[in-house]
Amino acid sequence: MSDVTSAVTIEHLTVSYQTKPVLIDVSLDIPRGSVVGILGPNGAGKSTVIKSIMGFVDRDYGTVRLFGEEVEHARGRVAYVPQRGQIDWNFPVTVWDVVLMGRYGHIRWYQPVRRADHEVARRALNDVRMLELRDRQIGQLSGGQQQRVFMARALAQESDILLLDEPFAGVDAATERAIAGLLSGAREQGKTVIVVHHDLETAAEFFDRVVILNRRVFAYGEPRDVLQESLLTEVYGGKLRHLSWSRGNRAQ
Amino acid sequence: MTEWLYNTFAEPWTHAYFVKGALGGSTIAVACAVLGCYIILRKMAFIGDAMSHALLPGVGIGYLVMNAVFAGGFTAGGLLLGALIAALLTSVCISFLSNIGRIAEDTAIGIIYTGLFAAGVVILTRFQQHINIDLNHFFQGDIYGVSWPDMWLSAVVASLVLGAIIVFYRHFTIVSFDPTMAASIGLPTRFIHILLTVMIALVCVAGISMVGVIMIVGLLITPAALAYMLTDRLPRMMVIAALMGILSVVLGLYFSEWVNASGGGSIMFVGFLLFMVGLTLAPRYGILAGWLRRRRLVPQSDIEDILKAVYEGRGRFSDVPLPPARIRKAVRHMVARELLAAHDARSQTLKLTPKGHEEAAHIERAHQLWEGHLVRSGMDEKSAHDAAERLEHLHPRDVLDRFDNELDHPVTDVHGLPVPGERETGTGEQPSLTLSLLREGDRGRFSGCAGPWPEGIQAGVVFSLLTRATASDPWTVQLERGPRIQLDHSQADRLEVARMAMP
Repeated sequence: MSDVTSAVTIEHLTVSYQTKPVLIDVSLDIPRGSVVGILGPNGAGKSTVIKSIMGFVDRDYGTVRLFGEEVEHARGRVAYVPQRGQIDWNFPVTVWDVVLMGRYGHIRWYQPVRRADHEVARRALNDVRMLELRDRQIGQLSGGQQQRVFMARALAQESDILLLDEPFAGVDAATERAIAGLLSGAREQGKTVIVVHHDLETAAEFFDRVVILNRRVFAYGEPRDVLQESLLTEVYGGKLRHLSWSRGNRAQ
Repeated sequence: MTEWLYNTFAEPWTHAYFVKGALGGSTIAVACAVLGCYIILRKMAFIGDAMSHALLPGVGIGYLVMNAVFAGGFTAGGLLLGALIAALLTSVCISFLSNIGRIAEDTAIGIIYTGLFAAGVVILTRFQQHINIDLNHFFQGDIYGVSWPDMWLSAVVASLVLGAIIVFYRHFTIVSFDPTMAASIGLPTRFIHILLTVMIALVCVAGISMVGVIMIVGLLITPAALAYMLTDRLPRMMVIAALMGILSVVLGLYFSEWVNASGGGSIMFVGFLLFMVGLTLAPRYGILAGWLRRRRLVPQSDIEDILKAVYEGRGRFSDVPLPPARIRKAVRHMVARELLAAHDARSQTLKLTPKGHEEAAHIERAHQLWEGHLVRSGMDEKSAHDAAERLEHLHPRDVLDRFDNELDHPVTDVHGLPVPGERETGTGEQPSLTLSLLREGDRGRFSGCAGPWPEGIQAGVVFSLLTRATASDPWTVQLERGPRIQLDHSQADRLEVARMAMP
């Protein structure tokens, strides 16, 4: 059984799309206040784990609990930062509009946006240092700035769990540092952060714990225990050979 | 003159049919335009098209049923209900068919709407003695024959649609923008989608008798698309779209009076012309603005060609292989970016700033490394040189460093000319370098090592590089407070260093 120190408890989660298994008997216990990276090759089911924590996935078997509650009853405890590719950057909304969306879950449909909501959104935008650009249309930002706007939206949701899908993909070094700072800031506020991540080399810097996933959980624990070449070779198969371990070739 | 003005612009308003057409048409146009903003943002334009056509069987069956039950009364209600059912059926069928797999959504739309439309045509023609609906009317509408029930219907529909959009503005916006997030905060995304579908059906039903099925789709899409060209704020987009809708209706009616053409057709034709004008002249996203922007843009390859020419000592305008006008434009741009020193226009000679020199050296290095890489992979020197002339514009640091490594860190290129070292290309963008990228005489501090540290070296140790490896000899570094250390190639690749100025 899960107890109150767990933010997310996944037990025996098995998911398939039609007959194709995506997750096989995945069990994870993610403690409150930790920053966890989910790593694995393409098609490993990383996004499916994220989706099941949001309660979007039809499970074949298993349970997903957030703070001991069934995920279906725990809506609103999770804030989600989408992959950049999923967003229509020409959509006519400003930075401010997007961050304010983080408050919509807290406002009943017949209520207007309250002053307190504006205040929360303003603080969140300030936390990512994007307040000056609040009136920009989101397509007029750099990639890193766009990422930070969506981080601010997640912060404005004031939820206990943050889910980030590939936040470090294609951002510059400055944004990488900014996002890493936000992750640890969220942890200090007692939030639980779960990040889908691609880059094995930086995993140890960013995460308290990492999950190595390829349909099933190959390893789960502290980075230095988990990120071992023999294990990674097993999970990634031949693909790992192309992965260089020197920081000089990171752009691969 | 005044008489002409009066006859052209004011006289039409003295006719009741014109006023009713303008009012009814504008009402429905506003509802369409505002709703249309969501339709184009959700990329549902084709669905709107499909739904409007698929209304036909619903309208036909509704008419038949009402005729049978109430013997000719309440037909308007029957039409409306039938059309709504047909619209929902269309939407359900499309999502069912496109979820089966193998059949994509646009295919599904094409199949469903032609199928339902054909069913409507069959029903209408089979029961034409019982149904008082003219197929031609369905297509064209009759803007000059707007009846009072039509007026009321469009007023009610427009109020419902605008009211729903105002009340659920946040919901519609977030579901359109980021459906995943909308679902995660517990918004009823499915319900909101159905609500949108119902609203499309409503405006179609209300508008078809006025402007016909094709024009109603036009009123949904075109003003919204025009507004989208003009602004990137959603509330503003809705207001502009509504104004453009009204403008299309009024100008369209004038136009139809002047040239004595179909009212519905004229309205949509004017709407289309307005869109074309907007597409051309829109201040930021228009064709003209884009063209001007591109014209002002200095091609990066021009900049790099000039940098390289000057770097290689060919600093006169006539030395650069580009048309003089392009050179002048690029040079102005480069002076502003502090790549070139403000030059003497009369002598037409160019001089690099330190920053320009750094970038030029980087491009030179890119050329030489590309060339080396190509020669190594079997290309002859002449073709490699020509290819490198073009490929040198692709010069991300990591690619070059890999070539550098692959070629065993050459000091001279295939022609024997020196390859600029790290000293020249600058370290601005590269926080960590590996030892193997330094040149003899460079000084630095070790900052990290991917793998075990070589004996005697650790982070923070300051060194200078004495010799780079040759085929037989290893790398030699002189530690500032310590011995001379020899390293093999893989160690030199693993050691991360920060370059330092000469003491």
